[in-house]
Amino acid sequence: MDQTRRELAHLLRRAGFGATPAELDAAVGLGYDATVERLLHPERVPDDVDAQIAALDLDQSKIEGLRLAWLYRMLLTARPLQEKMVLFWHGHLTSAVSKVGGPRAPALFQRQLALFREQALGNWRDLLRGISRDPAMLAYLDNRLNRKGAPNENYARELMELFTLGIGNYSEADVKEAARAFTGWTVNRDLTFTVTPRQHDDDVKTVLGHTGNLDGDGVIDAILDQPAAASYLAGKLFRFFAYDDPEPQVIDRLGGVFRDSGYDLRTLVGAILHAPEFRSERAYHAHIKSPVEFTLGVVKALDAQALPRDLPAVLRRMGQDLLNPPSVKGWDGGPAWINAMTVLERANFANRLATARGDQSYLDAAALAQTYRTPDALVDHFAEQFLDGDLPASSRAALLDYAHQGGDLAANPNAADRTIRGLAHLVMAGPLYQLG
Amino acid sequence: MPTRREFLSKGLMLVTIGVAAPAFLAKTGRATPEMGVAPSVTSRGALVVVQLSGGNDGLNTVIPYRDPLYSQLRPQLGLPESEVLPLDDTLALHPALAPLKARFDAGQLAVVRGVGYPNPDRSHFRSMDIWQTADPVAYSQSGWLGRYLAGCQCSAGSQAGGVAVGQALPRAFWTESVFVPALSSLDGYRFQTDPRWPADRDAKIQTLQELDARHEAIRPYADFLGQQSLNALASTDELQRVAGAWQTPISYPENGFAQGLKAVARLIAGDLGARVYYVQIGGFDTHANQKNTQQRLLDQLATGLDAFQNDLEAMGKADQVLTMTFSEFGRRVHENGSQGTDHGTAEPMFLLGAGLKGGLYGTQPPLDDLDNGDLRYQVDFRAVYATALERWLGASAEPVLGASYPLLDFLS
Repeated sequence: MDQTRRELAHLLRRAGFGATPAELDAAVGLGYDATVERLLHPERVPDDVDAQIAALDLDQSKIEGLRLAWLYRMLLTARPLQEKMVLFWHGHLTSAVSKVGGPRAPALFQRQLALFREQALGNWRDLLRGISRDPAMLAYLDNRLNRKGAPNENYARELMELFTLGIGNYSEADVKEAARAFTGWTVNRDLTFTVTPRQHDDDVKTVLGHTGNLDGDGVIDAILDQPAAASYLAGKLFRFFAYDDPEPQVIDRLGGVFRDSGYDLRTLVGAILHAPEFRSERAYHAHIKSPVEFTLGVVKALDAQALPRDLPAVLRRMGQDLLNPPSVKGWDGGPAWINAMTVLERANFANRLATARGDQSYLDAAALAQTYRTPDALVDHFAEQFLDGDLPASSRAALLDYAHQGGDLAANPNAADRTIRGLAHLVMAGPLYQLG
Repeated sequence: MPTRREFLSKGLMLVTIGVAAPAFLAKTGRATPEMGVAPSVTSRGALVVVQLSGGNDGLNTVIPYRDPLYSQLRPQLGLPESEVLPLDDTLALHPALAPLKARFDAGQLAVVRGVGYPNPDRSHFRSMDIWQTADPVAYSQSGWLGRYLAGCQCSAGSQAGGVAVGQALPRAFWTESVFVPALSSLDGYRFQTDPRWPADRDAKIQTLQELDARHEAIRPYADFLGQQSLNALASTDELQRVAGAWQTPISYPENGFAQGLKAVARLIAGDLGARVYYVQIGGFDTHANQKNTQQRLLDQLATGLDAFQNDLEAMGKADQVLTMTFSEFGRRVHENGSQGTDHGTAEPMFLLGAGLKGGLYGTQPPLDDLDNGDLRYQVDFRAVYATALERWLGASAEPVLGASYPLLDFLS
């Protein structure tokens, strides 16, 4: 695969969920910079994904239906970076169904996802103000029960430790005082945000050197005054998009850009996607695909628009239960996605899509047999389709060996069926396809 | 290259491909004399570690029910004397722990009171890391169980020295040289193939193994991914064989925790030979409305452990398994304004089995001598680990824990 095409395949994997062959062709036509601009400005791109999802008739009043609808949105949207950011925010500003539960949970999570979509590339201060008022978050980290005189520290602690500053950039005293500032921020009976004045501690507090009658917004302002705030989020987003263990000067530079922009997320993400580090060999195939990226990537590479109905359960077994991260830290990602069990789940998912037949089929083995008549041609095709053509000689030899065991492809339709589906399965189950 | 952290986290076999590949492809799955491993002969059996995630409120688990300060400091959350299950004149168990009370009466439950460590950390993540790495001071990457398995040399090839039940491999097992599978279900743990061409399965597995072993890729995680896949493929058939043997007569509760213990019981019955098993039960972070949540979770804990112990009795191994529970911290003595408690410090640990000496160990932290509202720890958790290492697993504790700790007497 030529270098330009490879670079765009990389961009669409990281800034979205992969690409169908046609989507990749279109991006190559536009060029790298124009594609980045298009990704950064979802508001300029018409999208009829809402209509497409409505036509699927999924029951979004149930959590599992909501999960599947969200997965379809990720697959079909014309605004992939926006949706990739929604997934990022969900893993960073975490809430989970296992705690928030109850009959209203689907509506609460719809609302939270809508907040993340609206502020996906917006302003960090606005997003923090929004999530501090979000009913699902108020339930998840117990702030709805945080009252004057007996403060509940859960939200204040995780806000500083995990969401904005990181350990070492605030004190226990800051946590206690910030908890006081958030008292009375709760939910009504109809589960909308409200401040209950008699539960709110309006005495003087000091948080991170800011003193006054601070409320939650005052705490957010104090946090964003800290030098650590810009580099903390810049580091997290860089690792999400580019690679782990970034050089400190890269994060310093991006943190500076972020702070100077007034905490504009579009500016920060744009700086990352245009950065030479993001476009480098070091970043290329340096990630391990998350379960969402792996499964949606398979579907896109096969140029399909239908998802298995039980995809949320499959993702759960792969370690990524959408709307239900394992802890307030979200998902660790990277090598944490991979253990003996999840390796088998990925291989088995690949088998399932490669061997589905009839009206559930993802792979037209007969058509492929007509187009690619030899094992060599088939292996090259799958390498191009799944691996950017990047298949080492020894792996190629192993796949050819497998293909030759099936018998004459041209003469024998059974051999073609077995070999074509088998090759697709093996390439998608192999170690190189797990790289994102 | 994967960083050292990634190698440690996934229990990778750090051997060169040329040496390892034949062993994996042969799929023997067992330590053989040619591999130069002698299984430890001094272990009395398997250790099952049960992690209570979230910080279980120890003060309402092992309760100083007659201490007037208890009801004063917990006017709403304190449990009345009429409801609790007395172990002696001063301490009682939470009513949901009735099955464990019966084990205590039978001499099969040891309660270690007041367990913690100096300068306690109240972050879930940091404190859990401390318990799993047995290092409160430095940010150790390797886990205490991983270090034990590396030292005892009771894992070789794909022989599992330990098995974790759950989605992710706990840091307690992280080490360079040992493979520990993390299973979320035994039945799902197999390589599936095209239903139309079932005879093709072996050819596919062999091809995948070659892709795993010989990819020659220069990408950072390629080696790691290949190794994990090789380990998985080599161990699936072995684990299926082992797990298929035992048909339990015991009816386990239908929750994730109990089903996890059931899977462990199957592997023990089938003589997998693993030294350590790890199961988790979560949800203990009771900042609000603690009463019902803790009741439900302690009930799951007790009924699950009881079913597990009954199963071990049915297979004749009740004295060959030691189960140990812990949580990353206890909770604050004062209740908060939401009928819950916030992160605290010292807590009790339970040990269960027919091979131990039941009773009360450690010291109950006094309620009239708190450390800024928190219980002062009385027993360092590493002393409990050391006791399990030396007197149950037959291993030397100091190389694993970095120092010596006084042993407790719940094991002779």
